[in-house]
Amino acid sequence: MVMLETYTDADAIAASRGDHECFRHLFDRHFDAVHRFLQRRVGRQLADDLAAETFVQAFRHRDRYDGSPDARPWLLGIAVNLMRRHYRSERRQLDAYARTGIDLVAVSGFDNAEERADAANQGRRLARALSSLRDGDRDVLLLYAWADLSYEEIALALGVRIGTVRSRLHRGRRRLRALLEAPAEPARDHLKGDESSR
Amino acid sequence: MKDLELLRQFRSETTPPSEEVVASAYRRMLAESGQAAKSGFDARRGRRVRLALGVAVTAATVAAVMAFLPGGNPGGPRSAAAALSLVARVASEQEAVPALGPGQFYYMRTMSFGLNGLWEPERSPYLYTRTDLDEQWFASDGSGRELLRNGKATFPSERDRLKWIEAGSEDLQSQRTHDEKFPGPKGGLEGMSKAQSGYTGIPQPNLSDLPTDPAALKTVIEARKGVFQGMPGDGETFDIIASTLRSFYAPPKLRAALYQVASELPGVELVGDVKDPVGRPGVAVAYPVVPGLQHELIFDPSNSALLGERWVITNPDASHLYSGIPAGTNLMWFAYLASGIVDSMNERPPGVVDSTN
Repeated sequence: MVMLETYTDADAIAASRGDHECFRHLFDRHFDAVHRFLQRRVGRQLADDLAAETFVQAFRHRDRYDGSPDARPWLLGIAVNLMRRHYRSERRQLDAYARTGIDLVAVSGFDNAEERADAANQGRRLARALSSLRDGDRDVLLLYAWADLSYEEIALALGVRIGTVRSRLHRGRRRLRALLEAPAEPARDHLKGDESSR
Repeated sequence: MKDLELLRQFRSETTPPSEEVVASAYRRMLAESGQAAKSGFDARRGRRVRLALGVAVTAATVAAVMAFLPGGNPGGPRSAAAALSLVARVASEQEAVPALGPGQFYYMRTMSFGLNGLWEPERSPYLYTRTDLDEQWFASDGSGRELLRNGKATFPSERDRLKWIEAGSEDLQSQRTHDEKFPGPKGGLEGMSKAQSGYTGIPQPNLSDLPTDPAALKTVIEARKGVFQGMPGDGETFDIIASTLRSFYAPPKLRAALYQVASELPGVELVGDVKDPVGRPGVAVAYPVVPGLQHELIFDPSNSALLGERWVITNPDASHLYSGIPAGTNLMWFAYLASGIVDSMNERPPGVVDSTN
Protein backbone atom coordinates (compact mmCIF):
# COMPACT_ATOMS: atom_id res chain seq x y z
CA MET A 1 0.00 0.00 0.00
CA VAL A 2 2.98 2.34 0.28
CA MET A 3 2.79 3.26 -3.36
CA LEU A 4 -0.84 4.29 -3.05
CA GLU A 5 0.08 7.08 -0.69
CA THR A 6 2.31 8.62 -3.34
CA TYR A 7 -0.53 9.40 -5.74
CA THR A 8 -0.68 13.08 -6.54
CA ASP A 9 -3.79 15.11 -7.21
CA ALA A 10 -2.78 15.29 -10.85
CA ASP A 11 -2.76 11.48 -11.00
CA ALA A 12 -6.22 11.30 -9.46
CA ILE A 13 -7.60 13.87 -11.89
CA ALA A 14 -6.03 12.10 -14.85
CA ALA A 15 -7.40 8.74 -13.66
CA SER A 16 -10.85 10.29 -13.14
CA ARG A 17 -11.12 10.82 -16.89
CA GLY A 18 -11.42 7.06 -17.20
CA ASP A 19 -13.13 6.37 -13.91
CA HIS A 20 -15.09 9.20 -12.30
CA GLU A 21 -14.80 7.66 -8.85
CA CYS A 22 -11.10 8.53 -8.82
CA PHE A 23 -12.05 12.15 -8.30
CA ARG A 24 -13.03 11.06 -4.81
CA HIS A 25 -9.33 11.18 -3.88
CA LEU A 26 -9.33 14.93 -4.47
CA PHE A 27 -12.53 15.36 -2.55
CA ASP A 28 -11.23 13.40 0.44
CA ARG A 29 -7.99 15.26 0.52
CA HIS A 30 -9.21 18.82 0.14
CA PHE A 31 -12.87 19.18 1.03
CA ASP A 32 -12.21 20.11 4.66
CA ALA A 33 -9.57 22.71 3.77
CA VAL A 34 -11.82 24.38 1.21
CA HIS A 35 -14.74 24.31 3.63
CA ARG A 36 -12.65 25.79 6.43
CA PHE A 37 -11.43 28.66 4.24
CA LEU A 38 -14.96 29.46 3.15
CA GLN A 39 -16.35 29.12 6.65
CA ARG A 40 -13.90 31.72 7.94
CA ARG A 41 -15.05 34.10 5.25
CA VAL A 42 -18.79 33.68 5.05
CA GLY A 43 -19.88 31.40 7.87
CA ARG A 44 -20.68 27.76 8.10
CA GLN A 45 -24.04 27.63 6.38
CA LEU A 46 -22.92 29.31 3.19
CA ALA A 47 -19.62 27.41 3.32
CA ASP A 48 -21.53 24.10 3.23
CA ASP A 49 -23.07 25.12 -0.07
CA LEU A 50 -20.07 26.83 -1.65
CA ALA A 51 -17.64 24.03 -0.77
CA ALA A 52 -19.96 21.50 -2.39
CA GLU A 53 -20.32 23.70 -5.48
CA THR A 54 -16.51 24.11 -5.63
CA PHE A 55 -16.10 20.38 -6.18
CA VAL A 56 -18.94 20.25 -8.69
CA GLN A 57 -17.18 22.96 -10.70
CA ALA A 58 -13.81 21.27 -10.26
CA PHE A 59 -15.18 17.97 -11.52
CA ARG A 60 -16.88 19.66 -14.45
CA HIS A 61 -13.71 21.47 -15.51
CA ARG A 62 -11.12 18.84 -14.62
CA ASP A 63 -9.89 18.73 -18.22
CA ARG A 64 -8.52 22.23 -17.70
CA TYR A 65 -6.36 21.21 -14.76
CA ASP A 66 -2.73 22.20 -15.30
CA GLY A 67 -1.17 19.02 -13.87
CA SER A 68 0.31 20.44 -10.64
CA PRO A 69 0.80 17.73 -8.01
CA ASP A 70 -1.19 19.71 -5.42
CA ALA A 71 -4.69 20.79 -6.49
CA ARG A 72 -5.41 22.90 -3.41
CA PRO A 73 -4.58 26.28 -5.05
CA TRP A 74 -6.79 25.40 -8.02
CA LEU A 75 -9.67 24.38 -5.77
CA LEU A 76 -9.34 27.49 -3.60
CA GLY A 77 -9.32 29.58 -6.76
CA ILE A 78 -12.66 28.05 -7.74
CA ALA A 79 -13.96 28.65 -4.22
CA VAL A 80 -12.94 32.32 -4.34
CA ASN A 81 -14.56 32.66 -7.72
CA LEU A 82 -17.82 31.32 -6.33
CA MET A 83 -17.48 33.62 -3.33
CA ARG A 84 -17.60 36.68 -5.54
CA ARG A 85 -21.39 36.55 -5.52
CA HIS A 86 -21.22 36.82 -1.76
CA TYR A 87 -18.74 39.66 -1.24
CA ARG A 88 -21.54 41.90 -0.03
CA SER A 89 -22.63 39.38 2.53
CA GLU A 90 -19.03 38.97 3.70
CA ARG A 91 -18.55 42.71 4.06
CA ARG A 92 -21.86 43.06 5.88
CA GLN A 93 -20.88 40.46 8.44
CA LEU A 94 -17.46 42.05 8.93
CA ASP A 95 -19.05 45.48 9.36
CA ALA A 96 -21.47 44.10 11.91
CA TYR A 97 -18.63 42.55 13.84
CA ALA A 98 -16.63 45.80 13.74
CA ARG A 99 -19.62 47.77 15.08
CA THR A 100 -20.97 45.36 17.66
CA GLY A 101 -18.14 43.07 18.69
CA ILE A 102 -20.27 40.08 17.81
CA ASP A 103 -18.99 37.80 15.11
CA LEU A 104 -21.81 35.93 13.47
CA VAL A 105 -19.35 33.82 11.51
CA ALA A 106 -16.90 32.49 14.08
CA VAL A 107 -17.32 29.80 16.66
CA SER A 108 -16.28 31.11 20.08
CA GLY A 109 -13.31 29.25 21.49
CA PHE A 110 -13.01 31.21 24.72
CA ASP A 111 -14.24 30.04 28.08
CA ASN A 112 -14.41 33.25 30.07
CA ALA A 113 -15.83 36.68 29.48
CA GLU A 114 -12.47 38.47 29.81
CA GLU A 115 -10.81 36.39 27.11
CA ARG A 116 -13.86 36.82 24.94
CA ALA A 117 -13.80 40.59 25.35
CA ASP A 118 -10.08 40.83 24.47
CA ALA A 119 -10.55 38.70 21.42
CA ALA A 120 -13.60 40.69 20.40
CA ASN A 121 -11.69 44.00 20.62
CA GLN A 122 -8.88 42.70 18.47
CA GLY A 123 -11.39 41.01 16.20
CA ARG A 124 -13.34 44.21 15.69
CA ARG A 125 -10.23 45.98 14.42
CA LEU A 126 -9.44 43.10 12.10
CA ALA A 127 -13.03 42.94 10.87
CA ARG A 128 -13.02 46.67 10.17
CA ALA A 129 -9.73 46.39 8.31
CA LEU A 130 -10.85 43.40 6.23
CA SER A 131 -14.15 45.02 5.40
CA SER A 132 -12.43 48.15 4.18
CA LEU A 133 -10.15 46.30 1.76
CA ARG A 134 -10.90 45.98 -1.93
CA ASP A 135 -12.42 42.57 -2.57
CA GLY A 136 -9.46 41.46 -4.69
CA ASP A 137 -6.96 42.56 -2.04
CA ARG A 138 -8.90 40.67 0.62
CA ASP A 139 -8.87 37.52 -1.54
CA VAL A 140 -5.08 37.66 -1.84
CA LEU A 141 -4.46 38.48 1.81
CA LEU A 142 -6.69 35.68 3.09
CA LEU A 143 -5.34 33.08 0.65
CA TYR A 144 -1.90 34.01 1.96
CA ALA A 145 -2.73 34.17 5.67
CA TRP A 146 -5.47 31.58 6.03
CA ALA A 147 -4.71 29.09 3.28
CA ASP A 148 -0.89 29.42 3.45
CA LEU A 149 -0.58 29.69 -0.33
CA SER A 150 2.65 31.06 -1.79
CA TYR A 151 2.66 34.04 -4.17
CA GLU A 152 2.90 31.65 -7.12
CA GLU A 153 0.01 29.55 -5.88
CA ILE A 154 -2.16 32.60 -5.31
CA ALA A 155 -1.36 33.81 -8.81
CA LEU A 156 -2.39 30.40 -10.14
CA ALA A 157 -5.54 30.31 -8.01
CA LEU A 158 -6.77 33.73 -9.05
CA GLY A 159 -5.43 33.77 -12.59
CA VAL A 160 -3.39 36.94 -12.03
CA ARG A 161 0.31 37.74 -12.34
CA ILE A 162 2.69 37.37 -9.41
CA GLY A 163 3.34 41.11 -9.52
CA THR A 164 -0.36 41.69 -8.97
CA VAL A 165 -0.32 39.33 -6.01
CA ARG A 166 2.61 41.21 -4.50
CA SER A 167 1.02 44.62 -4.90
CA ARG A 168 -2.36 43.47 -3.56
CA LEU A 169 -0.75 41.82 -0.59
CA HIS A 170 1.37 44.88 0.12
CA ARG A 171 -1.65 47.18 -0.08
CA GLY A 172 -3.79 44.87 2.05
CA ARG A 173 -1.20 44.51 4.79
CA ARG A 174 -0.48 48.23 4.88
CA ARG A 175 -4.18 48.91 5.38
CA LEU A 176 -4.41 46.16 7.97
CA ARG A 177 -1.50 47.54 9.98
CA ALA A 178 -2.88 51.08 9.88
CA LEU A 179 -6.26 50.02 11.18
CA LEU A 180 -4.85 47.70 13.82
CA GLU A 181 -2.94 50.62 15.29
CA ALA A 182 -6.01 52.88 15.32
CA PRO A 183 -8.19 52.95 18.48
CA ALA A 184 -11.29 50.75 18.36
CA GLU A 185 -14.69 52.39 18.33
CA PRO A 186 -16.81 51.53 21.36
CA ALA A 187 -19.28 48.76 20.70
CA ARG A 188 -22.97 49.49 20.92
CA ASP A 189 -24.06 48.97 24.50
CA HIS A 190 -27.29 47.12 23.91
CA LEU A 191 -25.57 44.66 21.66
CA LYS A 192 -22.77 44.25 24.18
CA GLY A 193 -25.41 43.30 26.68
CA ASP A 194 -26.73 40.75 24.24
CA GLU A 195 -23.26 39.30 23.87
CA SER A 196 -22.64 38.82 27.59
CA SER A 197 -25.92 37.01 27.95
CA ARG A 198 -25.17 34.58 25.14
CA MET B 1 4.67 40.34 11.13
CA LYS B 2 2.25 41.02 13.96
CA ASP B 3 -0.56 41.89 11.59
CA LEU B 4 -0.30 38.52 9.87
CA GLU B 5 -0.14 36.65 13.16
CA LEU B 6 -3.29 38.37 14.35
CA LEU B 7 -4.99 37.74 11.07
CA ARG B 8 -4.11 34.06 11.20
CA GLN B 9 -5.74 33.78 14.61
CA PHE B 10 -8.84 35.65 13.46
CA ARG B 11 -11.73 33.18 13.13
CA SER B 12 -9.29 30.29 13.49
CA GLU B 13 -11.85 28.35 15.51
CA THR B 14 -13.98 26.61 12.91
CA THR B 15 -16.29 23.65 13.00
CA PRO B 16 -15.54 20.78 10.60
CA PRO B 17 -18.35 20.04 8.18
CA SER B 18 -20.73 17.40 9.47
CA GLU B 19 -20.72 13.96 7.88
CA GLU B 20 -24.13 14.77 6.41
CA VAL B 21 -22.76 17.88 4.73
CA VAL B 22 -19.77 15.96 3.38
CA ALA B 23 -21.93 13.12 2.11
CA SER B 24 -24.35 15.52 0.49
CA ALA B 25 -21.51 17.45 -1.18
CA TYR B 26 -20.03 14.25 -2.45
CA ARG B 27 -23.34 13.08 -3.92
CA ARG B 28 -23.73 16.47 -5.55
CA MET B 29 -20.33 16.12 -7.15
CA LEU B 30 -21.06 12.63 -8.41
CA ALA B 31 -24.39 13.76 -9.77
CA GLU B 32 -22.28 15.74 -12.21
CA SER B 33 -21.09 12.45 -13.66
CA GLY B 34 -24.43 10.67 -13.37
CA GLN B 35 -23.03 8.29 -10.81
CA ALA B 36 -24.77 9.47 -7.65
CA ALA B 37 -27.42 6.79 -7.66
CA LYS B 38 -25.03 3.90 -7.88
CA SER B 39 -22.39 5.23 -5.50
CA GLY B 40 -22.49 3.89 -1.95
CA PHE B 41 -21.04 6.70 0.13
CA ASP B 42 -19.23 5.60 3.24
CA ALA B 43 -19.03 8.35 5.83
CA ARG B 44 -15.90 6.91 7.41
CA ARG B 45 -13.20 9.11 6.01
CA GLY B 46 -10.30 6.71 6.15
CA ARG B 47 -12.16 4.10 4.22
CA ARG B 48 -13.08 6.56 1.53
CA VAL B 49 -9.44 7.42 0.99
CA ARG B 50 -8.42 3.82 0.61
CA LEU B 51 -11.27 3.05 -1.72
CA ALA B 52 -10.53 6.02 -3.90
CA LEU B 53 -6.85 5.22 -4.21
CA GLY B 54 -7.57 1.60 -4.86
CA VAL B 55 -9.74 2.60 -7.77
CA ALA B 56 -7.08 4.95 -9.07
CA VAL B 57 -4.53 2.18 -9.13
CA THR B 58 -6.90 -0.25 -10.77
CA ALA B 59 -7.68 2.24 -13.47
CA ALA B 60 -4.23 3.42 -14.30
CA THR B 61 -1.42 1.15 -13.28
CA VAL B 62 -2.39 -2.47 -12.88
CA ALA B 63 0.20 -3.71 -15.31
CA ALA B 64 3.04 -1.70 -13.80
CA VAL B 65 2.15 -2.70 -10.26
CA MET B 66 1.91 -6.36 -11.15
CA ALA B 67 5.36 -6.29 -12.66
CA PHE B 68 7.15 -5.52 -9.44
CA LEU B 69 4.99 -6.37 -6.45
CA PRO B 70 5.90 -9.53 -4.56
CA GLY B 71 3.64 -12.28 -5.81
CA GLY B 72 2.67 -10.26 -8.88
CA ASN B 73 3.69 -10.94 -12.44
CA PRO B 74 5.59 -14.26 -12.38
CA GLY B 75 8.11 -12.78 -14.81
CA GLY B 76 8.92 -9.73 -12.67
CA PRO B 77 11.27 -9.48 -9.69
CA ARG B 78 9.79 -10.64 -6.42
CA SER B 79 12.54 -9.51 -4.10
CA ALA B 80 14.83 -6.57 -3.51
CA ALA B 81 17.76 -8.73 -4.60
CA ALA B 82 16.13 -9.51 -7.94
CA ALA B 83 15.10 -5.88 -8.59
CA LEU B 84 18.60 -4.60 -7.71
CA SER B 85 20.32 -7.23 -9.84
CA LEU B 86 18.15 -6.27 -12.80
CA VAL B 87 18.94 -2.59 -12.49
CA ALA B 88 22.64 -3.45 -12.02
CA ARG B 89 22.54 -5.25 -15.35
CA VAL B 90 20.93 -2.24 -17.03
CA ALA B 91 23.64 0.05 -15.60
CA SER B 92 26.47 -2.25 -16.70
CA GLU B 93 25.41 -1.87 -20.32
CA GLN B 94 25.28 1.94 -20.31
CA GLU B 95 27.85 4.32 -21.77
CA ALA B 96 29.73 6.60 -19.39
CA VAL B 97 29.38 10.36 -19.60
CA PRO B 98 32.55 11.88 -21.15
CA ALA B 99 35.02 13.43 -18.72
CA LEU B 100 34.65 17.14 -18.01
CA GLY B 101 36.64 19.36 -20.37
CA PRO B 102 38.34 22.62 -19.36
CA GLY B 103 35.76 25.22 -18.32
CA GLN B 104 33.00 22.63 -18.05
CA PHE B 105 30.86 21.80 -15.03
CA TYR B 106 28.82 18.87 -13.86
CA TYR B 107 25.37 20.13 -12.90
CA MET B 108 23.01 18.52 -10.36
CA ARG B 109 19.53 19.63 -9.41
CA THR B 110 17.91 18.22 -6.26
CA MET B 111 14.64 18.89 -4.50
CA SER B 112 14.42 18.03 -0.83
CA PHE B 113 11.75 17.93 1.82
CA GLY B 114 12.01 17.68 5.59
CA LEU B 115 9.60 17.29 8.47
CA ASN B 116 11.61 19.24 11.00
CA GLY B 117 11.55 19.53 14.77
CA LEU B 118 11.01 15.85 15.52
CA TRP B 119 14.40 15.06 16.97
CA GLU B 120 14.75 17.83 19.50
CA PRO B 121 11.35 18.25 21.14
CA GLU B 122 12.90 20.23 24.01
CA ARG B 123 14.51 22.79 21.73
CA SER B 124 11.74 23.01 19.14
CA PRO B 125 8.43 21.77 20.56
CA TYR B 126 6.74 22.16 17.19
CA LEU B 127 6.94 20.58 13.74
CA TYR B 128 7.32 22.33 10.42
CA THR B 129 8.03 21.28 6.88
CA ARG B 130 9.99 22.91 4.11
CA THR B 131 10.78 21.90 0.53
CA ASP B 132 14.03 23.26 -0.90
CA LEU B 133 15.61 23.33 -4.35
CA ASP B 134 19.37 22.85 -4.52
CA GLU B 135 21.54 23.26 -7.63
CA GLN B 136 25.24 22.49 -7.79
CA TRP B 137 27.86 23.01 -10.47
CA PHE B 138 31.23 21.23 -10.11
CA ALA B 139 34.34 21.74 -12.22
CA SER B 140 36.97 19.03 -12.56
CA ASP B 141 39.19 20.82 -10.04
CA GLY B 142 36.46 20.63 -7.39
CA SER B 143 35.49 24.31 -7.57
CA GLY B 144 31.93 25.29 -8.32
CA ARG B 145 28.73 26.95 -7.27
CA GLU B 146 25.77 26.07 -5.09
CA LEU B 147 22.42 27.81 -5.42
CA LEU B 148 20.03 26.79 -2.68
CA ARG B 149 16.50 28.13 -2.59
CA ASN B 150 14.50 27.35 0.51
CA GLY B 151 10.79 26.91 0.14
CA LYS B 152 8.16 28.23 2.48
CA ALA B 153 8.13 26.78 5.98
CA THR B 154 4.71 25.30 6.74
CA PHE B 155 3.26 24.02 9.98
CA PRO B 156 1.39 20.70 9.93
CA SER B 157 -1.19 22.09 12.35
CA GLU B 158 -2.32 25.31 13.95
CA ARG B 159 -1.03 23.95 17.24
CA ASP B 160 2.49 23.70 15.82
CA ARG B 161 2.33 27.27 14.57
CA LEU B 162 1.22 28.57 17.95
CA LYS B 163 3.97 26.56 19.67
CA TRP B 164 6.47 28.13 17.28
CA ILE B 165 5.31 31.61 18.28
CA GLU B 166 5.39 30.65 21.94
CA ALA B 167 8.97 29.38 21.56
CA GLY B 168 10.13 32.73 20.16
CA SER B 169 9.34 32.51 16.43
CA GLU B 170 12.69 30.99 15.48
CA ASP B 171 14.01 31.84 12.01
CA LEU B 172 12.97 28.87 9.87
CA GLN B 173 14.95 30.04 6.82
CA SER B 174 11.68 30.31 4.96
CA GLN B 175 11.90 31.38 1.33
CA ARG B 176 15.61 32.27 1.50
CA THR B 177 18.16 31.99 -1.27
CA HIS B 178 21.80 31.10 -0.71
CA ASP B 179 24.11 31.48 -3.67
CA GLU B 180 27.74 30.60 -3.13
CA LYS B 181 30.76 30.01 -5.33
CA PHE B 182 33.37 27.79 -3.77
CA PRO B 183 37.04 27.23 -4.67
CA GLY B 184 38.45 23.76 -5.26
CA PRO B 185 40.91 22.15 -2.87
CA LYS B 186 44.57 23.04 -3.24
CA GLY B 187 46.11 20.87 -5.93
CA GLY B 188 42.67 19.98 -7.37
CA LEU B 189 40.84 16.79 -6.63
CA GLU B 190 44.05 14.80 -6.80
CA GLY B 191 45.31 16.72 -3.80
CA MET B 192 42.20 16.22 -1.74
CA SER B 193 42.16 13.51 0.86
CA LYS B 194 39.45 11.07 -0.03
CA ALA B 195 38.65 10.80 3.63
CA GLN B 196 37.29 14.33 3.44
CA SER B 197 34.80 13.51 0.77
CA GLY B 198 31.28 12.22 1.07
CA TYR B 199 27.73 13.36 0.74
CA THR B 200 27.95 16.42 2.93
CA GLY B 201 31.40 17.51 1.88
CA ILE B 202 31.69 19.94 -1.00
CA PRO B 203 33.59 19.42 -3.22
CA GLN B 204 33.28 15.71 -3.76
CA PRO B 205 35.67 13.42 -5.62
CA ASN B 206 35.40 11.87 -9.00
CA LEU B 207 34.54 8.27 -8.25
CA SER B 208 35.86 6.79 -11.47
CA ASP B 209 38.89 5.11 -9.87
CA LEU B 210 36.87 2.94 -7.49
CA PRO B 211 36.64 -0.81 -8.24
CA THR B 212 33.76 -1.77 -10.50
CA ASP B 213 33.93 -5.46 -9.74
CA PRO B 214 31.12 -6.02 -7.18
CA ALA B 215 33.17 -8.34 -4.94
CA ALA B 216 36.12 -5.94 -4.85
CA LEU B 217 33.85 -2.98 -4.25
CA LYS B 218 32.09 -4.80 -1.44
CA THR B 219 35.45 -5.46 0.24
CA VAL B 220 36.43 -1.78 -0.02
CA ILE B 221 33.06 -0.59 1.29
CA GLU B 222 33.04 -3.02 4.19
CA ALA B 223 36.56 -2.01 5.16
CA ARG B 224 35.26 1.58 5.40
CA LYS B 225 38.37 2.83 3.65
CA GLY B 226 38.93 5.64 1.17
CA VAL B 227 35.72 7.47 0.35
CA PHE B 228 33.70 5.01 2.40
CA GLN B 229 33.91 6.27 5.95
CA GLY B 230 31.44 5.20 8.61
CA MET B 231 30.48 2.80 11.37
CA PRO B 232 30.33 -0.96 10.79
CA GLY B 233 27.00 -2.63 10.04
CA ASP B 234 24.66 -3.40 7.14
CA GLY B 235 22.55 -0.28 7.73
CA GLU B 236 25.63 1.90 7.36
CA THR B 237 26.63 -0.04 4.22
CA PHE B 238 23.20 0.61 2.72
CA ASP B 239 23.60 4.30 3.52
CA ILE B 240 27.11 4.39 2.03
CA ILE B 241 25.81 2.83 -1.19
CA ALA B 242 23.03 5.41 -1.30
CA SER B 243 25.50 8.25 -0.64
CA THR B 244 27.75 7.08 -3.45
CA LEU B 245 24.88 6.73 -5.91
CA ARG B 246 23.81 10.28 -5.18
CA SER B 247 27.36 11.63 -5.25
CA PHE B 248 29.06 13.87 -7.77
CA TYR B 249 29.01 11.42 -10.66
CA ALA B 250 28.97 7.62 -10.33
CA PRO B 251 29.78 6.17 -13.79
CA PRO B 252 27.53 3.33 -15.02
CA LYS B 253 29.99 0.53 -14.25
CA LEU B 254 30.38 1.75 -10.68
CA ARG B 255 26.62 2.23 -10.40
CA ALA B 256 26.12 -1.36 -11.54
CA ALA B 257 28.55 -2.62 -8.89
CA LEU B 258 26.87 -0.54 -6.18
CA TYR B 259 23.42 -1.91 -7.05
CA GLN B 260 24.88 -5.42 -7.09
CA VAL B 261 26.45 -5.01 -3.64
CA ALA B 262 23.10 -3.68 -2.35
CA SER B 263 21.33 -6.72 -3.82
CA GLU B 264 23.45 -9.00 -1.62
CA LEU B 265 22.94 -7.00 1.57
CA PRO B 266 20.79 -8.78 4.19
CA GLY B 267 17.71 -6.90 5.36
CA VAL B 268 16.99 -4.96 2.17
CA GLU B 269 13.35 -5.35 1.19
CA LEU B 270 11.39 -4.73 -1.98
CA VAL B 271 8.79 -1.98 -1.64
CA GLY B 272 7.69 -2.35 -5.25
CA ASP B 273 6.54 0.06 -7.91
CA VAL B 274 6.19 3.55 -6.55
CA LYS B 275 6.12 7.14 -7.65
CA ASP B 276 9.08 9.14 -6.48
CA PRO B 277 8.44 12.30 -4.41
CA VAL B 278 7.78 14.36 -7.52
CA GLY B 279 5.55 11.78 -9.21
CA ARG B 280 7.96 9.89 -11.49
CA PRO B 281 7.45 6.12 -11.66
CA GLY B 282 10.21 3.96 -10.24
CA VAL B 283 11.01 0.95 -8.11
CA ALA B 284 11.83 1.22 -4.42
CA VAL B 285 13.85 -0.91 -2.06
CA ALA B 286 14.11 -0.20 1.66
CA TYR B 287 16.29 -0.78 4.66
CA PRO B 288 14.93 -0.40 8.22
CA VAL B 289 17.18 2.30 9.68
CA VAL B 290 15.81 2.11 13.22
CA PRO B 291 12.63 0.49 14.51
CA GLY B 292 9.65 2.16 12.86
CA LEU B 293 11.64 4.05 10.24
CA GLN B 294 12.86 2.87 6.83
CA HIS B 295 15.17 4.39 4.24
CA GLU B 296 13.96 3.87 0.69
CA LEU B 297 15.95 4.12 -2.52
CA ILE B 298 13.88 4.76 -5.62
CA PHE B 299 15.42 4.06 -8.99
CA ASP B 300 14.35 3.97 -12.60
CA PRO B 301 14.75 0.35 -13.73
CA SER B 302 14.92 1.39 -17.38
CA ASN B 303 18.02 3.60 -17.11
CA SER B 304 19.45 2.79 -13.63
CA ALA B 305 19.17 6.42 -12.46
CA LEU B 306 18.62 7.05 -8.78
CA LEU B 307 15.40 9.08 -8.80
CA GLY B 308 15.12 9.81 -5.12
CA GLU B 309 15.30 8.68 -1.53
CA ARG B 310 12.94 8.96 1.37
CA TRP B 311 12.76 8.14 5.04
CA VAL B 312 9.32 6.82 5.93
CA ILE B 313 7.70 6.13 9.30
CA THR B 314 6.45 2.55 9.16
CA ASN B 315 5.39 2.12 12.78
CA PRO B 316 4.58 5.21 14.87
CA ASP B 317 4.42 3.10 18.02
CA ALA B 318 8.08 2.14 17.74
CA SER B 319 9.35 5.43 19.18
CA HIS B 320 7.86 8.22 21.26
CA LEU B 321 9.33 10.62 18.69
CA TYR B 322 6.82 9.46 16.07
CA SER B 323 3.88 9.29 18.41
CA GLY B 324 0.78 10.69 16.75
CA ILE B 325 2.35 10.79 13.29
CA PRO B 326 0.55 8.50 10.83
CA ALA B 327 2.38 5.49 9.40
CA GLY B 328 3.52 6.27 5.87
CA THR B 329 4.56 9.83 6.69
CA ASN B 330 7.77 10.99 5.02
CA LEU B 331 10.26 12.44 7.47
CA MET B 332 12.52 13.50 4.66
CA TRP B 333 12.95 12.98 0.95
CA PHE B 334 15.26 13.91 -1.91
CA ALA B 335 14.31 13.93 -5.57
CA TYR B 336 17.21 14.04 -8.03
CA LEU B 337 15.66 16.07 -10.80
CA ALA B 338 18.37 16.57 -13.38
CA SER B 339 22.09 16.34 -14.06
CA GLY B 340 24.43 16.89 -16.98
CA ILE B 341 27.47 18.69 -18.31
CA VAL B 342 27.33 22.44 -18.96
CA ASP B 343 29.78 25.10 -20.07
CA SER B 344 29.32 27.66 -17.29
CA MET B 345 28.11 28.05 -13.72
CA ASN B 346 25.07 29.95 -14.98
CA GLU B 347 24.01 27.29 -17.43
CA ARG B 348 21.68 24.34 -17.03
CA PRO B 349 21.39 21.25 -19.24
CA PRO B 350 18.90 21.36 -22.11
CA GLY B 351 15.35 20.90 -20.89
CA VAL B 352 16.03 22.25 -17.40
CA VAL B 353 14.09 25.49 -17.29
CA ASP B 354 14.68 27.88 -14.47
CA SER B 355 13.72 31.49 -14.04
CA THR B 356 16.62 32.31 -11.72
CA ASN B 357 20.25 32.69 -12.67
